[in-house]
Amino acid sequence: MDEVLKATGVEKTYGLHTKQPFKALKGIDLTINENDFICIMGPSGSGKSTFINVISTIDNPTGGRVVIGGQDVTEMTEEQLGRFKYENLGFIFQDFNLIGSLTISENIAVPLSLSHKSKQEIIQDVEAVAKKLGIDHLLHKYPEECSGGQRQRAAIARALVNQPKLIVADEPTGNLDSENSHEILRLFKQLNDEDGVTILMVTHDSMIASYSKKLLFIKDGELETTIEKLNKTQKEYYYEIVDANSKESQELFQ
Amino acid sequence: MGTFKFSLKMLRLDFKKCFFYGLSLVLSTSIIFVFFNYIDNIYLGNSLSEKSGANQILALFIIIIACANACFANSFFISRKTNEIAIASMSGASVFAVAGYLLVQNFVIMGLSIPIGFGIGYIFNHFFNLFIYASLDVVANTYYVSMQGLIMSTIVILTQIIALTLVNSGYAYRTEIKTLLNEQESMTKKSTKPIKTPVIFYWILYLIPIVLFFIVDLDPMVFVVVSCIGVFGIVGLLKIGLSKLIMFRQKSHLTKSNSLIAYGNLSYSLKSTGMLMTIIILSIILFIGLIIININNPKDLFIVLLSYGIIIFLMSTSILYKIILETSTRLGLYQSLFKLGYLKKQLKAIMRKEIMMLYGVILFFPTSYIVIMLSRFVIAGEVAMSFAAALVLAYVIPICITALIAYFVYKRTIIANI
Repeated sequence: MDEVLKATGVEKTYGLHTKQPFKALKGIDLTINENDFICIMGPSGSGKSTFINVISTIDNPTGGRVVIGGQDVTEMTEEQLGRFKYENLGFIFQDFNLIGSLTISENIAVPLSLSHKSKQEIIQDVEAVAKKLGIDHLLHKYPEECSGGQRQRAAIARALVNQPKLIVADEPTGNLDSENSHEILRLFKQLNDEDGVTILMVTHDSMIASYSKKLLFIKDGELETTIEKLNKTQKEYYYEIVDANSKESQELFQ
Repeated sequence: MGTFKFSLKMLRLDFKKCFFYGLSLVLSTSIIFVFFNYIDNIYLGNSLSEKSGANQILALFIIIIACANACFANSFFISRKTNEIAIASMSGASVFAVAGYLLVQNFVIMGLSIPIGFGIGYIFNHFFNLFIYASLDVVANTYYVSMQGLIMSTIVILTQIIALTLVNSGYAYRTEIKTLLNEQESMTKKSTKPIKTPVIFYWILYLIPIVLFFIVDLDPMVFVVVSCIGVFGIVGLLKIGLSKLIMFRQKSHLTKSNSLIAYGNLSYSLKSTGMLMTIIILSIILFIGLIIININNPKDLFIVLLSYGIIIFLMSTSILYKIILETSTRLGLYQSLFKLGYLKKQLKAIMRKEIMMLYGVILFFPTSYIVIMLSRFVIAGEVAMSFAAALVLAYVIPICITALIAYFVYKRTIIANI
């Protein structure tokens, strides 16, 4: 399997030149291969969002290296990074972050218009990805006219339309009810299994995390536990995740 | 720490926010003072207690606009306080405590601004009287202050204070904490009632005056009345016609990422500033008409010209407040765009395009009427070309300056937080 992302000794310190610097990440290593579906979990303040922001180029690390698709993103200029993002990465946010003044079709097309594709190519690609995600009947509508699940599907379509190397999803089900949440995760699983889409997801929900193939548990800026699904059933994998999550609480009772 | 001390502490820490609000109150107060003195100036034959002449009605209009400007400044000030109000409410402060918090800040600012406003108004009044007496060959005391005018100014300003106090108290009471917390960050599309009138109707209403301007008699009042027909069309276009045009343009700009986003933002801005834009457009057309009517009457021309300048200034600052308020809710959008791969220079280009198009609309509508109107009078020899050009520049320049300010504030607010 080809390596999609390799993060080595990633560190992030806030307030570096002040009297009270805070080290949010303490040297985390991570390798993501093609077709991986990795989930990051951890308690509040553990650094999971900071980690995902750093490795997805939204934030700059204060130490370490992040190589995506063979390119060191920590050495890139702003221009190179901007181009790199829309060509190689797809983002899915908790609150969808669709642009209210654009139709669903135009929202999905945003990364393609940055890539300077022709209008015909853009329309074709948008229709193809929308059909795949079952939202082709919504293309002319505005986000406010769609349900939460539909909006998140539109956000996923936007993330996929440029066929990125890596999809980064930060709490993608945070604003959805349980039915829609499971529907979205089944979609993620389908994209990963059938189309080989590589996914990196952050969630606080163990049930949502159980859809992944590998779980990384971060605590106090360090990688504490790694759990791989391998041949386990989703139920077994889920219980192992719950166990890892509640380990700290269990220690309190010992 | 009590509400009073906390309120004063926050006022000290938020000096910049308070400064512009205070400045608006100073300006509004001084304008109200000057124009009430004009309405009741015995040396000019004006009296509050007698039937009002056209210029007195004009002065009253200026006073209303000055009050409206203070209201816009107040709503801008309060909108910057939503987080504080929300946190106070969440911490258990009662509605009265929150209202008290706002009242203390408001009274401190007003307590400083209004006396300064009266003081500056007194100085302005001297220069105002100097010019108007000179243009009317009146010899009188330029430091004259009408007692009735002063009383009326005080009553209007006190009414303004009470109204703003009630509005601010009511704001904290009726707005939910969650809404207060998200107010500064959310772009919410205002729901509008569906309009069944076809858009072409508004375009026709807008175009009718342009055709009639070439046909009607050379009477400024006729031009003004005909323009009012067009204003109905402009209102409809601002509300719905331009939005439809924007949607159409967006479709053809699918490959131009900057334009796509800028057009989308423009439709939001048009919806929120539509009413203000209508007032400024109508004011410009009306005042140009009034100036032409009084072109051979120096006595009234001076006050009309001065009122024109003040209206342009007040309306430009009101629109500036509104636009800054609206654009400050765009931070979430621009953060998402940055994450998607937009560069900072592309984000700046989007903001620049949006502001240019918005102010382009503000300039386009009145200019399309005024240029034709003035051209007819210039050709007929009733108005000098240089004077006509000056009248147009008198609104174009201030609006362009406020456009620049709006862009710089917009850019600074967004880029600093990405």
